[in-house]
Amino acid sequence: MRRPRPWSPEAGYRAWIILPALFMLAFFVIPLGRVLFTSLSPADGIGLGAYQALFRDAVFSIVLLETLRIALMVTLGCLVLAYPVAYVVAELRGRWQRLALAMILLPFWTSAVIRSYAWLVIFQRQGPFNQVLLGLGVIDRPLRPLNSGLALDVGMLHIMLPFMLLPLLSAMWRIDRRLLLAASVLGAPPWRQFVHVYLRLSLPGVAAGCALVFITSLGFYITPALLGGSGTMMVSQLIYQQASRLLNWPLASASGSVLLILTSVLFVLYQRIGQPRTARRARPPVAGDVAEGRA
Amino acid sequence: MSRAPHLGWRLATIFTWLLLLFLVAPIVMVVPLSFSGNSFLEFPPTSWSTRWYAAFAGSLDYRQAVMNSVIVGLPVALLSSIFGTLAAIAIERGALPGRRILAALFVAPAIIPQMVLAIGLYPLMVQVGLIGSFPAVILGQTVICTPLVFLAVGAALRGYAPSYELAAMTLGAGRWHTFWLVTFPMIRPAVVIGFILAFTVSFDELILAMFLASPTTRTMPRLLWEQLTYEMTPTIAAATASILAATGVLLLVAAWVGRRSTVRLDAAP
Amino acid sequence: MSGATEGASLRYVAVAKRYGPLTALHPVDLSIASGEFFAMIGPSGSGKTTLLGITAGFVTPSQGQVLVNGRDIVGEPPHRRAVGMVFQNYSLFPHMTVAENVGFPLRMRRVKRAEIAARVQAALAMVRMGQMGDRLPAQLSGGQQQRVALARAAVYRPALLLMDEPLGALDKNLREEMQDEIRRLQRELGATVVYVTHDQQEAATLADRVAILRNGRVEQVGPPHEIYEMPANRFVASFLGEANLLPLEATQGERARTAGGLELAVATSDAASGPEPTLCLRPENVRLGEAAAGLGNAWTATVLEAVHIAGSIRYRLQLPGGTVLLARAPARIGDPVWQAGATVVAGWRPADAVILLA
Repeated sequence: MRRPRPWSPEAGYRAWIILPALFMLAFFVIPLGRVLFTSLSPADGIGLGAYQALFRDAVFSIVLLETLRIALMVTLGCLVLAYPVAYVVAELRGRWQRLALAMILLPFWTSAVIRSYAWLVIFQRQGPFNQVLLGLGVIDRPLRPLNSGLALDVGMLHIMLPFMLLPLLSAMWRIDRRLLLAASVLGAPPWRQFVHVYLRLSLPGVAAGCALVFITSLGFYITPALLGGSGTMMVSQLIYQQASRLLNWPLASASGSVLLILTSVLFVLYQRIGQPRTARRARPPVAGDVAEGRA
Repeated sequence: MSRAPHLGWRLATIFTWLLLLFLVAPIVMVVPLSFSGNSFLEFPPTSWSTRWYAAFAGSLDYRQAVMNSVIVGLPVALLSSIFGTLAAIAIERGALPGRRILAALFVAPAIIPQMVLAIGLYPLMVQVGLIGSFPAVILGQTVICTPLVFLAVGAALRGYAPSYELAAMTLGAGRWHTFWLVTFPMIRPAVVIGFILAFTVSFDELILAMFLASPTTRTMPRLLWEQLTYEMTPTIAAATASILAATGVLLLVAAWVGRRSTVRLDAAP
Repeated sequence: MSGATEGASLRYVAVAKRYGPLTALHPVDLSIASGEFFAMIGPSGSGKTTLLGITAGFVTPSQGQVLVNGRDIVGEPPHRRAVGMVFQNYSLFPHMTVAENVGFPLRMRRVKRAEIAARVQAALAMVRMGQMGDRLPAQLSGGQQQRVALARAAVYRPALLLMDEPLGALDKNLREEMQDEIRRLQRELGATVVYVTHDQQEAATLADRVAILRNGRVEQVGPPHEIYEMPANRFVASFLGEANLLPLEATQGERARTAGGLELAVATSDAASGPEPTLCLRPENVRLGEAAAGLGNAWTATVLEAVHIAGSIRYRLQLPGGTVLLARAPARIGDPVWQAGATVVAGWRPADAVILLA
């Protein structure tokens, strides 16, 4: 005779997953599966027809490469700018640190529409950007940064910087300062202490920040649509065009699938290398942990 | 660590504050812009007025969009809080098989490009006859907001030992009492923060609203977006500044709740 | 709060726990009598916490029965077991006051408000925390928190109290004070206590009987002094106090030879047929100087080191052939003291050493 299933503290919590999992299945997994499926069946039976059409036309390849290029540049730009800043902010104390954090979190939680709009104002023909440069005599007639790609680069950097700063900060806060002291007691000169101890211990933050910025940049729509001018197009813009203007769903789904697979692979890699999910000190979740999720 | 004012350190500090200024300045700039007296966007404005706020408040379109954003945002925040909290507890405390994969499932919606999710949800919503309705936008945005609550509550659950719940059980509390009297009070700050953040994100979300809402259910970001593409009056600045103020207040509340929660959680051994 | 409850009797019948291929606990059989103070000690990973978790209901055993007063409680949820438990981190609910914490188990049992207040006050008075009812746990010191945790676990008079390293987070002086407190509380309550610790001194101070666990197995069970005097094997001998362990090469009658080449007199070597017979000699049974003369075993030894530790001197001695021996002698005023480098006669009676089989 089998015993009735024994009670255990875990068993009861297990059932709590059912409701949220069903929700995610219905409104996340199935829609994405549907995108993959639609991309495979353009009217006449299952096949790769949509992908052939996609890559036959040079436009998609150009847009995809451009998207990857922009994402890579933004990632590198953010890393170079954010690393020293995160280092300084991690060293700050008391109210100065709180102020710096507020200055990072305010843009982090402000909508991309608003921030892109602000840059649109700054970079328009009579905007502050041209006025300042004209006033200083650097240029003699107004530049057109909206068409040259400059506005897009600056806007994307501005939007993505907090995504790099927050993971870097949370990694740097976890570095035990006594290790640097130990290194100096053992006779390491300051630059060696930095490279061998600090830099190495902050690498998880670097990896997390880069993955987050790169993955998020790949999917950008609002900023390039508003600041990209007519010259540049990113994959999300192409998908929007294919779906809502051309009403070509197989084609839009094929573009979407390429983007989906690309981001999923990167996301899996990021989960593997990044975040070992061990116990962390409880910190205000606004800062560190949510950075992973807000994208 | 005390540090001698070293030249490199000074330069790094100056650079830091300049960059932080760069982060904040464009957003703050919207505020004087919204009080402009000019009828065209000019910065700095040459004259001042509040007429754009009057235009904003007087516009039926804007009023409806703000209403719609609230009608969408509150249920999104509520549903995300419920789903995110349930999932976090099941995954952190349930010893589920494949919990890494499940955890990834509840983080992924925040990472996957919204455009892809949008073209997947659109035909589904057409099929079930919800397209253009509030429930369509609410369900769609709940997908992308659930990870925020999931991460916040997950971090809170990892922040204290499971022995509090075990203690409650040995003291005679069944599942229901253990949850309401012990677990929930311990994670309440994280749930509140998650709720606020979910509301903020929903209030700012454009892409799903673009695909799933109709002209009668369109939310604030979508109206702004439509305005941006054909006119550039300072009314938009007034609208943006108002949203900004609301976002700022919500974040301050979240930070205040967060501050209080760490005091409590750190005090426990 | 007066009058003791009848402590529960506890019996483990072939209780085991496996996690896939890993065995956390090999089948265990133990009986704990009503009202007994029973300690389980062992290094981390020895299975003691698993066994406690099985008793509390957090862990479902892979096999076996846990009988409380003769009734099998496996599969019963913790909140129906009426078992009290004290945790190492106290686990006082941080959002409730001290009084609310102590009243929690009574509230769960639907005791009337007025009665809760009275019983909480009595329980707090019992742990000398009567004035602290309105405080939050965060406002208390570690020792005070542990007192509240004890009151909370005892307020509903469970017949069985489990304690998981309750003093592990306290410093040494406070720990000794709390040991007395726990012992007094147990006598007043009359409950059966199962106490897990890795501190052998604490176990010896508190417990009527001790079980020593290693790698998921019970190595030995018995009163502390009995285990100390007659350890079952080398692990137990060295885990419980200090011991000189001399591997034996050959034994015959009342003679034995160690691996280091010493010819010894032993009480009896009849039992020395185990796989690795070892002589176990406690340092305090080694006598020095005049006292050593005429004992069955006596050698001239060189003092390698002499350390004064709270009332006794601990010598490290080298015997002929290189064997190193630990000896402990009371440091009474006027007694001779040997410094490092001196030579001294060291010896012991054959009956003071035990031969271990493994």
